[in-house]
Amino acid sequence: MKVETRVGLFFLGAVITVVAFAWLMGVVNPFSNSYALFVQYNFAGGLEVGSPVRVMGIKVGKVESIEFVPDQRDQQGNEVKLKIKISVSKRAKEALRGDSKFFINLAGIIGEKFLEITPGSLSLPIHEAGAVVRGEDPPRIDQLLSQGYGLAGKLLDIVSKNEGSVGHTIELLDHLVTNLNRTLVQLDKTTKNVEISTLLKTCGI
Amino acid sequence: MDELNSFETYFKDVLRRTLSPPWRKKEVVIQLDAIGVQSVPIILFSISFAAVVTIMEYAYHMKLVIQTANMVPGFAALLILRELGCVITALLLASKVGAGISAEIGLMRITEQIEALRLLQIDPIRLLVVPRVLATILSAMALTVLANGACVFFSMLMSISNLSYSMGTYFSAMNRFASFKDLILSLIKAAVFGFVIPIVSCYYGLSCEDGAQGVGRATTLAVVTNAISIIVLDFILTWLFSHLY
Amino acid sequence: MGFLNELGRILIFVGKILKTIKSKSINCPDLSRQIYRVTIQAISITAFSGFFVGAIMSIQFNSQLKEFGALTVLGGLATSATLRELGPLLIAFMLSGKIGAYTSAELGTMRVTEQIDAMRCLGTDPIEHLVVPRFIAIVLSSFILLLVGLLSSIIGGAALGKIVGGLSAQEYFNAIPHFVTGWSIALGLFKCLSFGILLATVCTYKGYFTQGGARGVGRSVISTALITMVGIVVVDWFTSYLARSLEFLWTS
Repeated sequence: MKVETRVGLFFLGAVITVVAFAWLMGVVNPFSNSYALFVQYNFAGGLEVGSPVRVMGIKVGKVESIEFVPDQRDQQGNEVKLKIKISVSKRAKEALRGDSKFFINLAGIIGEKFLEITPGSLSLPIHEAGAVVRGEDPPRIDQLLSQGYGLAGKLLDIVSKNEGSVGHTIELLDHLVTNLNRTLVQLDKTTKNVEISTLLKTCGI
Repeated sequence: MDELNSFETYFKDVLRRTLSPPWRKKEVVIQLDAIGVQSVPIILFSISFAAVVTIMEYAYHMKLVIQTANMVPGFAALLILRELGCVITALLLASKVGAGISAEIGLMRITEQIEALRLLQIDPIRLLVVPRVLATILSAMALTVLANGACVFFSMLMSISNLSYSMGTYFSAMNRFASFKDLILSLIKAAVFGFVIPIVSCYYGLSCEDGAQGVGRATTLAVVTNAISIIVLDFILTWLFSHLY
Repeated sequence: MGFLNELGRILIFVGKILKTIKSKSINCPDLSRQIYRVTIQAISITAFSGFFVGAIMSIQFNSQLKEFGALTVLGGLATSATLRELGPLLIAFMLSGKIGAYTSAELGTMRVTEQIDAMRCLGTDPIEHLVVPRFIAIVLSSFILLLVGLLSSIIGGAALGKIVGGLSAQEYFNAIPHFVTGWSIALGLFKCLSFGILLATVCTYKGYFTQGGARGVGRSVISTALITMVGIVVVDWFTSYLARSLEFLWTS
């Protein structure tokens, strides 16, 4: 093989490898079999560009971009500040209907966030490319926690401030339960007595 | 100090002549073959072993940190593209090519061929140094690409067999962590290394002292200086690039 | 065929060296001079490059761990990776350049200027006086140099941990005992020993058997560099595999 041929092959191999990398890394997508949707949120819960998009648990696309739009409003006229553009494979298009919900879920314990779309009912229309939908804001764990703290604090407050009456209430409850118990036992005996007397009557004694 | 002055003039000479025609294409092609094509088997062979070991080590460390080896392909692909591919290739080139060039040119020097060239009004820098510089830059980039490809391929094989991944999940994991930008950055690193190695090696070759001893000394200095320069440059470039990640 | 030929010659050569070590008394002043020279030659560049290697590892791991918020383990992780893996590898590369090339050039020059033949004529065994001291010196100094390289890579890593990751030196060093097990240290040391032996064998062999004048010397240096490089990577893989299997068997 001539020198030039070898060198040519060498560089050809290198260029092919670069193209292979480009294709595998999603830079070049010669098959445009996905369409775009815009989902509005007020809180994205850690979703990032490149996070996967799943429909019924199957990956169909990814988050393309996340935009801050301070003056954006949804169909009900409420403010939604985030606009997230996602790419969805065309094969999932039929599944997404007017009442599909767009959640942000956590995959596993140290997993990453992904966008989960539930399929809609057949009666409602399909989302077209470029449609804008309102997504379900994920629960704010931090807010929940702080609320939980607040609640726990209040409970502790009540108990500590009203220790006397709380103790008293518990005592009363105790008495109540004991009495109820006794009454039930009596009732039981009485019932048994009534049964036996009926039985005896039936037997003609 | 004397050496430093002449290195500076030498460096400026080489730079000026690299950036202006004529470039002696035939020489460049010959060098591309010697430096690039003939390094392919060695580099691919060594890099594949290095890739396998890296994956095994990564899996071990991951298990220590987060008790699971699930993130290994992602992280490993990242390290391969950013560091392993270009640096190990560069170090291998530093030895092979560095020793080769400095020995070759050193030999020409002590057999007075360089003097002869000057007498014939042929510029030795244009004939010898510039083609090697161009060839090494291009070869380093191409070799890094091939090395990266081989590394990724082998780590994919390891992930499929040892960590029960599939091809699809491997590439998703890889894409989650690495991006095409990393490949481009590694190419830039490779070009820088490819620029430095021939310049240093030719310098030591051209200033070679007489006799077998001189050649030996020139080669040793070339290999050592190349290796150190690569590590220092890698540090600088890694730091610079870390701001771009 | 040629490869097996070569391999056989190398083994015979090593056999001669080992026999010489066992039977004859080791020439102590010569040996210590060699050790001194080899170590001093390489110590500054080893420390220097070790620092940078540690720094590079630190930067790389920093960006990866930041995503997990697990920055506190940076010290342990970087040190462990360097000790087990990169440390021996990179330092071996350094040494193969500095010491390997130098020794094969030195012995090669002696050979082509017929000094070795002259020694034989005068009844001195060149292997005993030239090769053995250098061989032992290289094996021993790879050990010492690895330690130096490791220490400086820990320092380099800590420095960068501070600059890039904002970790204090304390945090960095604290993580180390959690990650660096006895097995890791043993692995690192074993790798260094293997690399040292490999390097010593290849460079003395190639230098001793140089042929063909100045060109031959150049060729020897190149072969040394290449064979050592490929050899290091293969031995690295082999020792890792071995150590992993042992570790696995031991802990299970």
